[in-house]
Amino acid sequence: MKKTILLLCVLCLGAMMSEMKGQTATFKALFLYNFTKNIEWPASAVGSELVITVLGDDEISAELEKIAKVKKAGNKSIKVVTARSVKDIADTHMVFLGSAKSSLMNTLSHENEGKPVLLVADKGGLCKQGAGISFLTVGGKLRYEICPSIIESHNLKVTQKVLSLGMQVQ
Amino acid sequence: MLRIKYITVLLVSLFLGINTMAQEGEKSLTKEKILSMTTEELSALDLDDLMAAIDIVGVSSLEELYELLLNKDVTSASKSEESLFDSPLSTTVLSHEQIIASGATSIEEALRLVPGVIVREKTNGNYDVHIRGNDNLPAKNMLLYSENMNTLVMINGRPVFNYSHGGTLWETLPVSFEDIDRIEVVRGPASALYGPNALSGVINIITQNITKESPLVSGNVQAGTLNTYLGDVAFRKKISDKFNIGLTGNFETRDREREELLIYDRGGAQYSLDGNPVDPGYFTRDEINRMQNGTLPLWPPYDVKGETYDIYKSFPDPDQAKERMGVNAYLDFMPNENTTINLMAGHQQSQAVTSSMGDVPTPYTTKVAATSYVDLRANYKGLSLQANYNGGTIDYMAGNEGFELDNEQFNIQAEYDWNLGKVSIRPGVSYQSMSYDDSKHIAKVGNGYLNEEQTINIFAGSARFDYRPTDKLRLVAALRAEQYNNPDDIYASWQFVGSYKLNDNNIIRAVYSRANQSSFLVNTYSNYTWNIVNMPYPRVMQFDGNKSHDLKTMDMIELGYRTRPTKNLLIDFEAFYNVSEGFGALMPVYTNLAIKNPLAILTQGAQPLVLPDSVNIQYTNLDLKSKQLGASINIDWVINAKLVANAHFTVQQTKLDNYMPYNRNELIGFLAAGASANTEQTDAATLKLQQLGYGLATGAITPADVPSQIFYAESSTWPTDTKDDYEHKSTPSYFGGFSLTYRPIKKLEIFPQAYFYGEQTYEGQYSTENIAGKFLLNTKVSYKANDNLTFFVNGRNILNMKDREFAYMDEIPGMVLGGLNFKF
Repeated sequence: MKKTILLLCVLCLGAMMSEMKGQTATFKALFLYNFTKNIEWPASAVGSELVITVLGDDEISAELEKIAKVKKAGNKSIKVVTARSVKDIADTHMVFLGSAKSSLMNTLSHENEGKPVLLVADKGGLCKQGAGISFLTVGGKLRYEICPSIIESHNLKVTQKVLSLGMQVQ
Repeated sequence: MLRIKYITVLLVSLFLGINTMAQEGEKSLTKEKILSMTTEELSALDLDDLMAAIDIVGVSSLEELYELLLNKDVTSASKSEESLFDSPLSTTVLSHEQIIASGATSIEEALRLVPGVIVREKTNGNYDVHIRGNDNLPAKNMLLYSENMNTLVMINGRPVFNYSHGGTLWETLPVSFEDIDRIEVVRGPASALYGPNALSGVINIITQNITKESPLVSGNVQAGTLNTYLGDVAFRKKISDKFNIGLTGNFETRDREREELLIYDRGGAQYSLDGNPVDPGYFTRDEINRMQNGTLPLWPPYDVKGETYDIYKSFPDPDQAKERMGVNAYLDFMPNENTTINLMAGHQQSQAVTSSMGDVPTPYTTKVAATSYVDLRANYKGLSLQANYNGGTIDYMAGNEGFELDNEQFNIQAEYDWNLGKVSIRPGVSYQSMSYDDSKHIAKVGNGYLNEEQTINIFAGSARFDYRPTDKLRLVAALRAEQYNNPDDIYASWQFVGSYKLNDNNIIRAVYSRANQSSFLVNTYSNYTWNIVNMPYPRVMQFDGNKSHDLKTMDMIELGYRTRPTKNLLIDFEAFYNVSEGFGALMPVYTNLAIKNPLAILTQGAQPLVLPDSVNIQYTNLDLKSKQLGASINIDWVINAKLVANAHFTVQQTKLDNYMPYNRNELIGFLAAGASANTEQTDAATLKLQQLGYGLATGAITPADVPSQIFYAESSTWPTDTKDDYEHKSTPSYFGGFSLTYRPIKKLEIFPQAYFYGEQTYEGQYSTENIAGKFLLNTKVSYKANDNLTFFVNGRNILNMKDREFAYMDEIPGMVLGGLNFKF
């Protein structure tokens, strides 16, 4: 029996193998970019730039910056802003709330109530706390929950495509 | 049985031999192409194509592990979903995947993965589960007081508590693994959120949501040594955007490692079998049926409504540890985007041979239960309503008249989540009604504890304030007031929490909280006359409840620190100090003595035989105070995509003030000694004896006129020599566990897991038992043949450590099981 345990330990300790770096941040940033193409902001909120504010995720900020350099949201340039707290957020079209800051979702939602801002969270279940869209992993695949009623409450219009590809929650 | 195991092992071996790489090849080419695309090229993909690309690449194994293990969510700590890292209380979440991977064969066993939870197996598959300890208080009493009356176990917030005697009858839970999405454990007093009996914490079993991704059919089956068969299956379907349905079923059957029952020394017992003296020990039912204690039968049969209650009725299957089955139905209805309605209903039947709640010659008992429930949860915007019913019949000690009760429990509560940005307020009201009735199961009034239907009602109001003045600081205050019908009193509980997030990876917290126990039916309403027929004395014991007793409370101060020094490591530390007061127990409060042989004294010159005649036992509050100091640490470490480690360790020390070092018999003896010292009464008895003697001598009376016994004296005075700072050792001073999840290839998973605890001392009514520390090693090896089937071999206690884990209970050997998980 002791030999069996020893063997198990050796097997476990010998398992230190390299792992391909995840592409999740890249794909989440690509999702955010795609949302800009599939969501309509009210005319009063449209300017020359489409502002995406990232709170609590430098990786996503960096990936968005890469996209902003080569792509536009329609005919508008994309401006990526990094915020450090909820009170820093102003004049934005979209907010991405990093998973480490999920506890701020309620406050973020309240501060932006009725404003034409798409709130995107990086943790499943946050639509219940006011996120319009929240990323989650299902069976090893990146997915997003989407709550149409919350998005509508921010005076935004969302295409059927975004709705149908997401997991609709109420 | 052996054949089944060998076939399982063979199947696993066959699948292990399959080369899994072929399936990966085609995908990896496409994956490489995607990974080589530039940002501009990727940005050009529309949403459909982007999702397809993401599905091909998938989330990296590491990211997925971080999500599954380190970024969990919890709802029980604040009654709303939040990141486990941000939870203001000491909280652990066990996911469905973790439970399945661990090889735990029951919910209770899975709780060995949770820090601060001490889990001891009594008989195969029947466990004692305590959060942090404080168990067997007050000590030196019936095994009943070793039951965990301090933890509130719930299914989706529905209490599954036994309000008759207190505690949780784990075998009566209707759900099993395939129902469960996760188990949330919150340590520390939580009555302010969940109501009474959440003194040491709550265990909330959350069932799975039905989504488009839910498999239509899923389940687990396994079989192994000790005739152990376990299985559950679930059918789930999202019918439309508005309706989901689900149906689950589970079964479990296990044998004990022996069929004999322990007959223990209940103080001065003189056992004999077929006329030959025997020592206390293990005996078969037939032997017990023939045994005597002195001149009296040990387990005499008697008639209850035409049915014979005897050892065979008490232990219909002494070789079987546990048999249970449950069915559950789910219906979700989402009439509009603001409303969700979840209906859950089910039924369970169970029979378990485990520790006794009463006082019989064996520490074992058979519990038999058949109960059903309906639970309705509805949410409309911030308003949540929950109403449920649980009812049925539970026989806490089969074959013992008075322990079979019909019960009906109703709970209804409404809460509203009011989000004001930095402040959220959650007011609520609730009403609970628990009725128990033994009258249908007793031959006549007086033979049961209750002898009629009795009810405990609790009406409560609560409010929780969650204030985040800054992004980093959080202050929580939860308050609750409960009005009971009996005791007719209001109890308040609270929780004050402050947490401060030093940065995204470090959070500190401090908690001060109070919780209270509810009243239980036996404590409140007992009215039971025990005419003792298998012990020489006393002749009768009267058990009475007390409608105006104080309820037990626990106050706790806790400090916690949670850190994520690197992305793949989560460390959670908590230190706690709690004080419990308001203990109570069914205690002897009065004894009278009788001269048992007046005729022999008068006619043969025999020495007077003075013995306790009747004893009154009443639920009585004690001055006992428990002070517990302890700490727990938990480490989750994703070493790499193939290796994950977890370890948790708890140390604790419990000290008692006003500890009374006497068991029930010793207390009765003290009362008897006090009675003997009452010279006024003893002189009167002597005079009475003399008068009878004179009557006999003069022929005024005949021997037939001499009563069989004469009242001698009485007393209700307790000893006063209590002890302070007495170290209570019913909970081991340390316990914990560690596990590794090793996936050498994608399809193979090896999960070695250890659980250990230090020595403990059980102080019971009849003896003090020293129980050695134990180290249990389990290993589950799983092979995922395809997306639908996973085969496994599951070794429990593979070092075959047979030391008993709980006083008087079984010495359970190692077990090997084989089985499969399936989903389609």
